Amino acid sequence: MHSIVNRRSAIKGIGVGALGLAGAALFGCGGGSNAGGTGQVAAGKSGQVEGATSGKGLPLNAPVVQGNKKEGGVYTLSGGETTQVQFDGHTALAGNIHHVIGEKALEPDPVTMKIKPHVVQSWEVPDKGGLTLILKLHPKLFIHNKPPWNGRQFTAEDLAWNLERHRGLYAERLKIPKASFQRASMVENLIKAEAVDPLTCKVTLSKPNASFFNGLLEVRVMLMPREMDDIGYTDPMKMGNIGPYEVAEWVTDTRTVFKKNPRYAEFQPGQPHFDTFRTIGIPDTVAAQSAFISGQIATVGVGAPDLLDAIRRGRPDANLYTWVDSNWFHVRPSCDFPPFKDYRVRQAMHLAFDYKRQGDSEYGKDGGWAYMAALHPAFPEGWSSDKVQSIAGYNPDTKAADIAEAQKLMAAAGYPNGKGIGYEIIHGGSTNNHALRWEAMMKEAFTEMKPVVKPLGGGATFANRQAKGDFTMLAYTITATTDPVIEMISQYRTGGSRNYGNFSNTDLDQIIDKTISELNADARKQLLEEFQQKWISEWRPMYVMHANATKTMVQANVAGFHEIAGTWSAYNAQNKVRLLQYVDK
Amino acid sequence: MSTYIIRRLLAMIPTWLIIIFTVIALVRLMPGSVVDILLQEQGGQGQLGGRANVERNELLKRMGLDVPIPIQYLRYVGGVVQGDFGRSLWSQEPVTRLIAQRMPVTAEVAVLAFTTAVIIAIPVGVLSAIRRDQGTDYLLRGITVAGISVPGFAIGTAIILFPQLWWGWGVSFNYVTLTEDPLAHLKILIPPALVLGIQLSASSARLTRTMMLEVLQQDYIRTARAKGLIESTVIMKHGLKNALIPVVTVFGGQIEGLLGGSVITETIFALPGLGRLMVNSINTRDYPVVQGIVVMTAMFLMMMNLLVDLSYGWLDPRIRLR
Repeated sequence: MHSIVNRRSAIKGIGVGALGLAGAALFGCGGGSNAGGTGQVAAGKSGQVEGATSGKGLPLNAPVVQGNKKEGGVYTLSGGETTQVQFDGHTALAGNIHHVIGEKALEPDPVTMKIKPHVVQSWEVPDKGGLTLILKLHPKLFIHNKPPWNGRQFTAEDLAWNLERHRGLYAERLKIPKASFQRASMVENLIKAEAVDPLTCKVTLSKPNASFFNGLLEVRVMLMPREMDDIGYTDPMKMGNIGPYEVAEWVTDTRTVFKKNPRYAEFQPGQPHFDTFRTIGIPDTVAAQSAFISGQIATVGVGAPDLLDAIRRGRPDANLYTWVDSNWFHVRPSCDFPPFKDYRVRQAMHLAFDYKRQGDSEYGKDGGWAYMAALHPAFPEGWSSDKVQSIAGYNPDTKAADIAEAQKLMAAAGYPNGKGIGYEIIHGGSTNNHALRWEAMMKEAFTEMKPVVKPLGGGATFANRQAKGDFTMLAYTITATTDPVIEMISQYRTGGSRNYGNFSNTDLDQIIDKTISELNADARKQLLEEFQQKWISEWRPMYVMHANATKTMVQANVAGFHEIAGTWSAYNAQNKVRLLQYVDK
Repeated sequence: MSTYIIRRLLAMIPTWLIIIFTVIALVRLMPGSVVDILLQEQGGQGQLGGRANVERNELLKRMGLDVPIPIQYLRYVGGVVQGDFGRSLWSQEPVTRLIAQRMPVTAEVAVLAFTTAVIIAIPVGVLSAIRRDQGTDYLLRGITVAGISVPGFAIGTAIILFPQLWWGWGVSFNYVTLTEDPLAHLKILIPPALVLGIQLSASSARLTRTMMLEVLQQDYIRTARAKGLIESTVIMKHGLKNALIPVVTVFGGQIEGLLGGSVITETIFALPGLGRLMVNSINTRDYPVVQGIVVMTAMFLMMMNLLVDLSYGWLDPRIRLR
């Protein structure tokens, strides 16, 4: 039986008085029941998920599949390349074996973003200053039954090791560059984590971190058993974790087979449902579509409108799931490039860009994309898509007037019609369409401007130039972190890890520093509001084209996908296979 | 003959050395520093096939890039002579082992494709020649022109998609080895072999037709017919065998196309062969593997060219190789 943890009971500590309920909301917002861990998405009368995000202008289409549910079976997905060369669950850039076999400390509701207890079952903030956190583990967590664990319990020592390692505290000992721990900011200010007893972990922070628990929701902050450093990260067959499936077979470039972890049900009753979960390597997009139509795989991504039509023709009974993902596409100027140092130039280009034309042309009549300014609209504090749409530059109804204003701003900055501004827009391939549309729209609005799209053959070449800040403008995509302040730090603070355009503003830095330590929810919200307003009216450090639409076709006999669908389900959808099962139709 | 073979083998050495130099130079001509890219892509995650330190200098040393290029070249050649093609930067496995693991799949597809090509090209070419300027000839010539014109990835995509949409028949992407399930294995390999084989057969069929037309006008064919030999013997024994020399030359040269085509075909059909290893290695900047595949493929093709030359003597006894 799971403990029921809610916002108030979670922080029954001596710090409650000082933090107040508003602060508690930041530290202990694990709300509601976690029975079964099945999420909080409910089926509406129409058989669709009633998304809590509708008020924010985010589309969510997640049909609830009905039928006689069956246990067992083999569930197969296209795994792209099965040569997953980034095995270290803490330093991996992208999808990783531990994303499948492991778990996170906490889970966000994929729709509402509410924190749900998971591996960490409850938590407390016992001191007034918010510098000590007490995390309680679920008592029924067992590592896969293979050496050296042989089914041993996952304890507070494991959790402490994970938190300190994520922070990069072991970098020197492991001879791994500290910068490799890319999720270190998710546990910002952590200086120590220690086991108090087998199920209790004490975390010590150097400064308060209002984003700490949101950081633990991040999809790449996976937990691993503490022996992994000794075992190494090259052989998947040797890897173990506490997740619903364990590695049973690994054939490079061919398939990975996972078998059910028999003790997982003690943690999440009744899960997982499939006996076997398998990924097969299908690198080609058309091949993956064909595999879906022939029923060889259970899901396929359908981004482009024509592709969606083709899949619908081939598999008319399949279900379409649509939501706005946590990714966001953008065009980022380098603030080292003289013309782009001037806010008027940056603002003029914003006013000239037609965001609706961009989104509609990419996603077609079914839509699914959302307007976004400084923060992803799925953040509770982020401006809604509707609100952003009403602002000059984004608003399609005022586009002609906005372009006229843009031309005035450009002339006032000393670049009439963009004369004298020539620049390259680099990209690594996947954002070619954005770069091209940017180029076209800028040429339309500013006849003397000379933007040139420059594709950089490989992703690595692009990544290298991006990291070095060796560009005048670039087109790329970012996966939002699970906390707006963490996002602000990495993207916009002077020297931020992903502030590739070298944007720097003292006022902005001060707001960020205040926000990360602000434990009062109202005050924090106010600071975030100020940040978003100034981002628009004073800073304009980049151009977010839209929040990304995700469209997935799922075979008709797969039930439970509505529990996966939602903005915060990126990356670890494979981990959520535990929620799915077959139905007789 | 043996003198000829030895002379040809010796002549391969400078070609082979130039190829190695070209490959090594190309790696260094990549935009940006290879080491920096690697540091960012894999070193940036702190892993180099395990717990190794990914400091820049160590990576330089590991890649053999810490010494001048001429020394790097000589070291690599020295290693290759001893059968050491280096190790994968990711998995730390010897390149030779990686290639050996993938080679069977590519070889099987190549053999099947080659067989398909021969089965299609020779009869089509012969039939087209003996039905010259008739409807059959026009039809077959049209088909072969289409076969030459349509790129392999388009044929591959069509084979994957259209039967699925029209008849509900889908290519299997769940690769199994020959020992796991021979029948399923064959079913998986046939579609990619067809794609490569059709392409290869198109140009060969046209050449077979042309050569057959030329040979069928020779005096010895007229003599054979005058002797009262049946037409099939005239065509197959006296005509085809003499028409095959240039066809064999073209077939030999097209083995290169088969290996090159495997890069695309194996990606489309999700086969774990050498072509896909090449693509993955380029994507992950695993340069020792890329170098190893290119150098070994070059060696293989040079040997194939030698075999083609040697086959001339068997096809036409008038040819003596000295």
